[in-house]
Amino acid sequence: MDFYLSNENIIWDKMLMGDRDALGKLMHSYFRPLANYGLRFTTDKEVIKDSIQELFIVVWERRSHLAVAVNVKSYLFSSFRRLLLRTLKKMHKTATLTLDSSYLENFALILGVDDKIIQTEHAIKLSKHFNILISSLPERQKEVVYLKFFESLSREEISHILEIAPQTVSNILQIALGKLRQGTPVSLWKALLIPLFVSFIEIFIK
Amino acid sequence: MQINDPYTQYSLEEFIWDERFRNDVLKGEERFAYWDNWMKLHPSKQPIVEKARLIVLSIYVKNVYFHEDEIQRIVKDVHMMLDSDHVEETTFSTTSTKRNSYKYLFIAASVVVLSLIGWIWIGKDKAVDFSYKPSYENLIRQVNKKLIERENQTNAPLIITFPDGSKAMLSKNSKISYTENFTSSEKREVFLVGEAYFEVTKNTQKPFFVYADGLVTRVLGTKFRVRSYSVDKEVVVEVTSGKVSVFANPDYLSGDKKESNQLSSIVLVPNQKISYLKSDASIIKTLVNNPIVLLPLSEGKMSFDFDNTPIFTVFKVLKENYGIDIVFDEELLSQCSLNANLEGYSLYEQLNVVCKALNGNYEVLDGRVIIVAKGCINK
Repeated sequence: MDFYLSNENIIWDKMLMGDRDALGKLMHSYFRPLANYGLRFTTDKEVIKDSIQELFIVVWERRSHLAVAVNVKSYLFSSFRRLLLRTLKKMHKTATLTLDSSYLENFALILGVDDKIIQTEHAIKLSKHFNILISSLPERQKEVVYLKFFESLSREEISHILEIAPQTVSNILQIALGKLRQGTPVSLWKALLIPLFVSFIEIFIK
Repeated sequence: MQINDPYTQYSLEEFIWDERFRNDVLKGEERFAYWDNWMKLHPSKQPIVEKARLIVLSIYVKNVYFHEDEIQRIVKDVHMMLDSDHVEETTFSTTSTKRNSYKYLFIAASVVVLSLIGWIWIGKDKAVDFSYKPSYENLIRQVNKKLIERENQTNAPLIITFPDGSKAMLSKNSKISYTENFTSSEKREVFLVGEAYFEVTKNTQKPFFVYADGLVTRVLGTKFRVRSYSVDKEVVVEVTSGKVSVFANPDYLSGDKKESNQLSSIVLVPNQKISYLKSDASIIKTLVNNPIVLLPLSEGKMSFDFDNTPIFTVFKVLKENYGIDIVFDEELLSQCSLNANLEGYSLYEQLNVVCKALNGNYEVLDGRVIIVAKGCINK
């Protein structure tokens, strides 16, 4: 990923030089990926939106301190993650009176199945199956799986975002994949409890 | 040749979560050609590979939906925020050395965060100081500059022109004072008890401050109203045009020393209003009682006559005409449309009609309108 100068690095450079349109372009193209990532931490759309705005304002104001040769995606993801978690933490502290369900303590990763591709009955079963496997993963593993498989980020990029060593990313991924690849039926209590838990989160998310 | 190919031993799940396999599936037919060949070599594995491919293609993460228009608006908002921040920066740099400018950039950014997170802290911060009760007289006493005072004891409003050309329309039983060296000092400072409507001449180098009880309003050039009668429990600021920032300040002198007032400032845009509660120095942001359409017809005001108009567009018209934010569930209401001529009604009457059609209602929160609706009745 590092050995080609991507189109977005050109836009990034323009932004660093003070090109406002370039900032707008970056924000526009990263809005959805960042919003989706943000949704793993909170279901509050407004908080996500505000945090993304703040992120780009900070990027703009710090542009004279930022490096040219930067991995734009992992830089934005890691800054966004830090900023959003800080905001949520503060909100959590101030919102002691209301137990607001929209601030998830956990990394929420729920899969859907596109039933245009797979026929319905089978699809529902599959969706449940993967959701069971995924929701049984610890937070860190879930997040690594998300970044790896649904955001196609490299080991190094993930290590940067989560502020952990690349080797740790590999280890976490290995363990998570070990669990995901086990097609063996889950134990009885899991089979009973986790679907409940999953549908509970699904209601939550909506 | 393929004897040690580990893929021959793979289960369905192992294929699904294999990085290389996933990439080949997701990056299109060309990349998948390898697997077409592979299946020919391992015909017994064909069903499993086909199935794994379909599953990889079909599973996706459940995501939040933002409409394209909404994203564009959000990007535009950032540009607007940067415009206003830029102006603030220049005023900061007149009082600070370059070494400090980075710090102020950080503060400017923090202003944004804090105003988003809410006004709760202002109350927290300021409630500590009970010894001092801010009032017009107390503020004036702290100013060690010569002041010029004007008072309106008549029933008609009194128009006051400041040395810089800015104007204030002073209501009855109101008093205002301003520094004698108004134009030569680096801030334009005005102290108010009672009510006044201001039209401030733009000067980005010299911000205009209105001190009213424990609330400070800071502008560069706008139209706004401040109401702060000493018998009232609250101070109210309403904006007609431009941008205004307000912050709680229990003590005139503390304003110069601390940065905290900058940190906890709240930005108001037209049709927004804040109420500052004197008792606990808390600030609540809402909309003015009767929001006005900001743009005249000639300057792009959009018609309120809706004919089978998608609800998204209806809200867009309301948003842009009044310059306010309306939050609603786009996904839920995407199928809804509206047939009504709302021309000549107030914003709140218009919202009532729209919400009725959407089987819901609205609330005003933090200067924004939040639509809570179940969806349209017909569909």
